[in-house]
Order: sequence, then C-alpha cells, then structure tokens
Amino acid sequence: MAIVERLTSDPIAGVIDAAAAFDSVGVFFDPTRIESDRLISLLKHRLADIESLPSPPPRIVEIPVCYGGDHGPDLDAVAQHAGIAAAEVVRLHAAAVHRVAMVGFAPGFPYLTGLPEQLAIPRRRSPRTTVAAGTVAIAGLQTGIYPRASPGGWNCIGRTACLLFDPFREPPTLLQAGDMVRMVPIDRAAFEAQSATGVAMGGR
Amino acid sequence: MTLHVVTPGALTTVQDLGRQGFRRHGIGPGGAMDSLSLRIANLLVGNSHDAAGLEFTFLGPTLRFPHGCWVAVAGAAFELTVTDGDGQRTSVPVGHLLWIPANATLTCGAATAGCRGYLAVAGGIAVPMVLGGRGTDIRSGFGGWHGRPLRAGDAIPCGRSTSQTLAEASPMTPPPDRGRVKVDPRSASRKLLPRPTGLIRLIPGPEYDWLSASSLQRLVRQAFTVTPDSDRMGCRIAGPTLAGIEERMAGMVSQPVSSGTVQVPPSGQPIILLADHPTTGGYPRIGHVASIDLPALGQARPGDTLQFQITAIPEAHALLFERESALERFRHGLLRGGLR
Repeated sequence: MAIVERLTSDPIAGVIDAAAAFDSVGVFFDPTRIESDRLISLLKHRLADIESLPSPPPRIVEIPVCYGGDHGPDLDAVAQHAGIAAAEVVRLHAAAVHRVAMVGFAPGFPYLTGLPEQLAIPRRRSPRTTVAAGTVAIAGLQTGIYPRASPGGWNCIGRTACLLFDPFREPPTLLQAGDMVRMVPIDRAAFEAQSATGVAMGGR
Repeated sequence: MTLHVVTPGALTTVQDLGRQGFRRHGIGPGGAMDSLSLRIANLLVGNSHDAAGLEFTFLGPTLRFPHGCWVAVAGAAFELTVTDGDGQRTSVPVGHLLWIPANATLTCGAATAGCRGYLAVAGGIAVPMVLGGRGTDIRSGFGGWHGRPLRAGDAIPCGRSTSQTLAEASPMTPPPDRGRVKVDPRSASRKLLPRPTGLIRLIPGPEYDWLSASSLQRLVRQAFTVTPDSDRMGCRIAGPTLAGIEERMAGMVSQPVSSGTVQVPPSGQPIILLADHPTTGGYPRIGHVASIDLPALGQARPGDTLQFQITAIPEAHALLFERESALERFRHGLLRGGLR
C-alpha cells in the first residue's frame, strides 16, 4: 500500500496506474514510455526505501448498519452456523475492528478483514440474483459491502445507507485501502431516515 | 452541435481510450474495445487520437446530423448509408473521411465481419469528463451519455469538446459543395489494421506453471473458439480443457488483473479479460495477451477461432512500438495531405 502511495505522490513517468490487492500490487505502465526492465529496477529501489519508513496512522471510519430483517436476510443462517443468537452475531460484528485490505472487484467494493473467527462462514451455495446497494455481507473471514445492486454470493447480514461509490465525489469511494472500519448498529427507522436524507456518511 | 439518435442499434455507447489512475478505488479502465479503430477514426477527422467517439456492436445506429460535419467510421465491416434531406441514398465506405451534409442521416447497418464499429466526429463527442474519462461504464452507470447505452431520441453533444486537445491541424473546413455527401480519399491504410488471423500472442502470467505439462501443450497446439457469452467484460473461449489448477486454487486470494489477462476458472475454459474487467480477480492468471493483439479481441465474434502463441515481453513491446510508429506516420501523412 505504501508503494501505491509513493507512486501517487512521486510518480514515475510512464506508470499509468497502481493498485494494491491482498498480498500483491499491480503496477500498470505504458511500454512506449518506459522500458519494463528499467521500471522493475526503479520499483525495487523504492520498495527498499519504503520498508524503512513508518506508515501513517490509519483513518477510522464508522459505518451505520441496520442488521437483520429484509436488510440482512442471512443473519439467522449465520447465527445458526455459528451456533449463537442473532443478537450475538450483531454484537460480535459491531465490536470488531475491520480493516480495508483492498478496494476491488467493483467501484468502491471494500474487502474488510477482521471478521471474528466465530462468524466465519462459506459463501452461499447459490448466489442471490440481486443484492441491494449498501448490503453488508460476510464470507470466509471477510466482510464486504456492495456499492450497487448486483448479484452476490456472500451472506447478507445488514445494510448501510452510506454511499460507497459516487463518481462525482473526491475521492470517489468512501473507503480506501488501509482504513479501519467500525460498524455502528442502527434500527430500521434510523436507516430509513438516513437513506431518505442521504446523511449516512461514515464519520471520521 | 448535436447528433440525434434515430435508432440506437444493438449496443451503442460513448467510449474513449479509458480512465487510468482509479484502480485503487475498484474502477477499471473501460474505454473502446478496439482502441486502434477509435484512434484511426479520430485521426481521420482531425481529432486527437484519444477523443471520445461512439462504439457500436453488431448492429449499428442510425444517426441524424442537423448540421453538416466531418465524420469517419472505422473498425468492423459495417454497411454505411447516408440519406440526405431529399431522401437520396449514398453508400459510403468504412475507414474514410466523410462529409455528412446538414439534415442527412447515417445508417450503420449490420457488421459482416468483426463486431464493433467506431464513429468519430470532428471535435469529438462532447460529454463531460468523469473520473478522467468520457467513456461509459455501463455496469456502474456513470460516464459517457448518462452512464448508459444510447436510446432513440437522444441528442448527443459533439463538435466542440472544449477540454479536449485537438490535433495541431487547423479546424476542418466544410468541402466546397457542403450540401452533398463527400467521400474523401483520405483513408485508413490497410497496413494499420490487425490481420484477422486469429493469432493471439500470450505472455506467460504469474500462475502459468500451475497448468499441467499436457495442458501447457494444449494451450498452444489447439485452437479455442469464442463463445456467445463474451461481452465488454471479457472474451470467453472454449477449447481443450486446461487442468492442474484445482489443487492450488484453494489458497488463492484476489490478485490484480488487466485488460488481456487470461484467467482459468475451475471449469478449465479460459476467460480473457477486456475493457470492462473488474480490477481484481480470484482465478489463476495463466497469461496476458500482448497489447498489440487486444484490438483484434475487441472485434472477435462468437464462433471465431483463436490460436495462442507464447511470446516474450521484449518481442511484444517491439510489435507495439512498430504499430505506434505506423500510427504516427499515418497521422503525419494526414497532416501533410492537408486536413482542412
């Protein structure tokens, strides 16, 4: 992640994009502007530099989530799988500190690590054809939030009124790789109010 | 200036050369599937090569031009007809600079070879820039014309794309007889276009050697067929089953992918990611198609056959330099020919 930051603040001519995934970084370049061997040696130098730099403190973002009901149709199945009450699933999920490992797959989709092991669960056997925008869902040891309505195979436990992706906002996505995230349980009425007024922005 | 959509065709969107710099937000490049054809069409009308144009698929749109203007269509073999205000029809060629008189319509018909056509208008399609690009992201619904494919009745702004750097050429002036269709001799040289051989050069990817030895042989010795579920996200191909990845896939986490990345899911049938690909993917990346061959994939039709050939990075880059110099010579030739 630090190398992506460095490539943004101090660009290498010919590099057109860079993005971090879980355990790798993709660096995209125009071969008519920089030779691949030269780019590789420049990147190696930068990586050596970065290892000695302290990383900045992470941003903490709170996401209000309405758990269960038709906003989280898989909450009961998750509770059953874990052998605990639905309320306990909510408590554990909201008590955890989640970390944005990467934003990928679709614009603004965060892959969050930090799901309590007790809640680990495989993907649904058959994916849902539509998952509503803002749905908070879990699979494996991860939480994801769907920025837009789309098909999805993760277990839907709740929904936020936060806008995860807005092409006209700077930056366009609510969450960035490296952010720390806390879920704040809200009731249905609060969710409705937030989606009506659009003021569910994750607080800092 | 505007152009009016009379019929939209099968899938017509505003596209440019894509957006860069937003992969960290999960936003891929998008842009023209056959970027070479869009660039050629732009150069023909005197635009900068990266101006926005229209991309249409299999069945082209019918467009009405209230004002006379210079246009060019490049890419697949579409049957183009201009119908002027008096109802007189003229057949016009793909790959030429064309003058469309005021109130005429251009009908793009159906593609007889290849599948995507590109229409460039002098001055470009003037939709607003969103996240560094004018292209349409259909799935996320932003960019281009209201984030969606064109519909009948749309009036698309064009001709004065303000923040666009146009070629050094002076603005194109109308031909002497501006009331009549004109097919200008300036055209795309055949040498610039990809030869439709179906040969796809492949650079081995990070998970290339996950494939079994026999699968590695099948990959280059047997042909693959483009399947009908291919789209702007990826070209799906069917052929010999590629095996050996299953055991190693279990521990794989999502990795960065690019246009041209060849992924092999557990079915063993590869997917070649194209313009609208997600930014990350969880399947083994057995290779990357050399950039030089991406425009040809943008024209691949279901049923077309592809033959992979393993290529080294320096070779792939040399081919790309060669093509870029050819494009540069083409651009200079147009300027010398006096684009006016």
